[in-house]
Amino acid sequence: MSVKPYRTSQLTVGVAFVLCACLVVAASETYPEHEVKAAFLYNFMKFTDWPVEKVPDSNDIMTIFVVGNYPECKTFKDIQEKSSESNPVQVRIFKSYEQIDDPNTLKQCHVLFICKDQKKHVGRILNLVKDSHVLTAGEDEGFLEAGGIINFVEYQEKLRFEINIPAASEADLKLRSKLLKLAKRVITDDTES
Amino acid sequence: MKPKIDMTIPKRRAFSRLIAATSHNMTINHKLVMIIMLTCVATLIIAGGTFTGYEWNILRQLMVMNLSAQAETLAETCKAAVAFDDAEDAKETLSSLKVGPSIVFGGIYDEEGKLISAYYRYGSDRGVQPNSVQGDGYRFEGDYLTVFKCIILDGDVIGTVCIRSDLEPLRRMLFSSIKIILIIIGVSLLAAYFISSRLQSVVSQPIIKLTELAKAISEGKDYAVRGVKVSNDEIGLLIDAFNEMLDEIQHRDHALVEANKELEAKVAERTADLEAMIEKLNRSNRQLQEFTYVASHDLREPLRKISAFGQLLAASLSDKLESDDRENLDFMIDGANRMQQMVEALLTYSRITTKGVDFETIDLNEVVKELTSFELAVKIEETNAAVELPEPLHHVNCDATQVRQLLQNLIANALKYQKTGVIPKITICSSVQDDGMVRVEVQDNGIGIEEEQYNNVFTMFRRLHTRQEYEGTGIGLAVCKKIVERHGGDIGVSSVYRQGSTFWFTMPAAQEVTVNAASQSDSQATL
Repeated sequence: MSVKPYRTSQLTVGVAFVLCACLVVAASETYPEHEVKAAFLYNFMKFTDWPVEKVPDSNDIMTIFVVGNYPECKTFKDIQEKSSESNPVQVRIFKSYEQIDDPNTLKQCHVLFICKDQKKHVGRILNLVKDSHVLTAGEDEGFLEAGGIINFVEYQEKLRFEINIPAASEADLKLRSKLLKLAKRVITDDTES
Repeated sequence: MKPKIDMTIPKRRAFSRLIAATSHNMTINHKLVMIIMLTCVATLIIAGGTFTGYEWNILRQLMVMNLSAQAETLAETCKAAVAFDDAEDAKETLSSLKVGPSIVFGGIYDEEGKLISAYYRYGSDRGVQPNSVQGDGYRFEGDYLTVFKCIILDGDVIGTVCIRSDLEPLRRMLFSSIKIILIIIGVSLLAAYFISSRLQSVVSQPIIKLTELAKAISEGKDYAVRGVKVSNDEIGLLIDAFNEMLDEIQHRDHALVEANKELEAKVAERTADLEAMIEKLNRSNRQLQEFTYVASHDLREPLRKISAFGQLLAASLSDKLESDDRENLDFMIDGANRMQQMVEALLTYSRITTKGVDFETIDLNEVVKELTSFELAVKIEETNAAVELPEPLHHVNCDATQVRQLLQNLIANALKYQKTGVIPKITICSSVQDDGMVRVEVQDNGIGIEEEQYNNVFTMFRRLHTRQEYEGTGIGLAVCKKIVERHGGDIGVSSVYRQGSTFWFTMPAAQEVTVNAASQSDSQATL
């Protein structure tokens, strides 16, 4: 455990930090939903364990594929530019399922987000990536029932999510309990909570 | 908490002076106990203070560690909640802080420092919330210890956990440890007091014994006693030195007593010698006086015959003798007469001691009156002299005959040693001295005596003038001196050459003098 005593210089830094934070907080109140979703998608990655054959090395590039008409997103840019200890992240956005030249490309990704407007393709896409250890996420009411793993829902005017554990197990993905704990609805083997 | 050593150094002298002043009248064993106790108190306070300071530090470190561990656990637990901005879950996580009774605040902040969720033990209005967020670390401020811990997800800081605890438990622990230390100090001091009270006698006992010994010696003057040496330290050396000193004193004392005895013996011996010598001298003196008396007494008769028959012869042959023979016969008669006078004077001189009588009270006024009326009347008439007594003379306690002789000689001398053509004027006065003697002065206006001759005049047969100038035997003043000495007085002369002399002598005052003088003054007063 590293314990550092408090110093005066840190106080001034702290004050400055608080001032900045106030501005940011004011702005974050009006954070667009798609930005929050982007951040959530990134964070899901961190609470999920992929089998070794999918992520052999901790330095491998992690990929997030988005299918559908996703608005211009600053968060995705930030994620890609982030230089941290964790795996580098790459985000690819396909405007629609039809535009994908080879649907098999979807099998390569780690996180696949299917937008609302691609509702009609959900079944097909899920079926496609079923055995490719892909964490699928959606934003449609029937997504989990269709076999998706995580689905965004709105709860008390806040963005929340629900999880389908059997689907995750089928994809050979391990979702951390912390993540499960935060889910508003978790589908286990034939039972709902 | 640290002992202020730098403060005690400059005050050290003043401190020991104070100790010395307060312990001035204490006995040595009390002093020793006091010194030991003071040392113990100082040591225990320093030790206790240091220990308390150390413990305070340890307790703080421990508290920081505990709180940091809690913060770390919290940071780990609330990772997901922060990542997905779930305030509900964060709050649930924070509720675990309830377990720690001293934790007053817990907070979870997002990466921008915004409070996501908070826990307050006593409500949010108590102002226990820190007003700034920092990175990993802790700070003691006011009554609180605040610990910050970053929430790290895959290497990215996504928020901060803050836990704040009040310092009450720390204080309680410190207070109880101070109490324990004080109890330890008290018990230690008690033990130190008992031990030092017993052990101080190792140092003080020999000194006290030595002091008692010294006191006993100075009171009893017994230099034969010795101190018993019990140790080889400085006190042992002191006892050795003391014993050596006693040896020396005893030795000297002994020597002194011996020397004194020797001296006394010598003095006795010398005294005996002197007494023998004095006896011998007295004897020879008596013999001499007897001889003088006998000789002069026995010489008187034939001399008188020579003188008487010479005169008869001169009378019967006055017409038949040639003028030369007549003159020779006169010389012979004159010589016989003078010799007779000298023998007479010698006889007087020797009688002073041999024929002296007991002292009685004598009225000198009466004596002077008789002398001027009888013995000296002719001479006074011849010279037309005046003998004056300005005041009545004091009475003296003396031999009546001898004091008469004394005054006669002095007045006669005053009449005799006179310048031609001058009428002698003789004044006699007296005074009582402090030593109870009466001083009598006989003052004349005669030829006077040179100062260097003052002592010679009282020597027998020593004459300052020829027989042609002044007649005399050279015995008169010697007789005076002898008389005065027999009465334990002094005699002397002072003179202004060619203007007059004052002969004085002292005689014991009569016991009744004061009475008489008093009665006189009384009678004068009544008149």
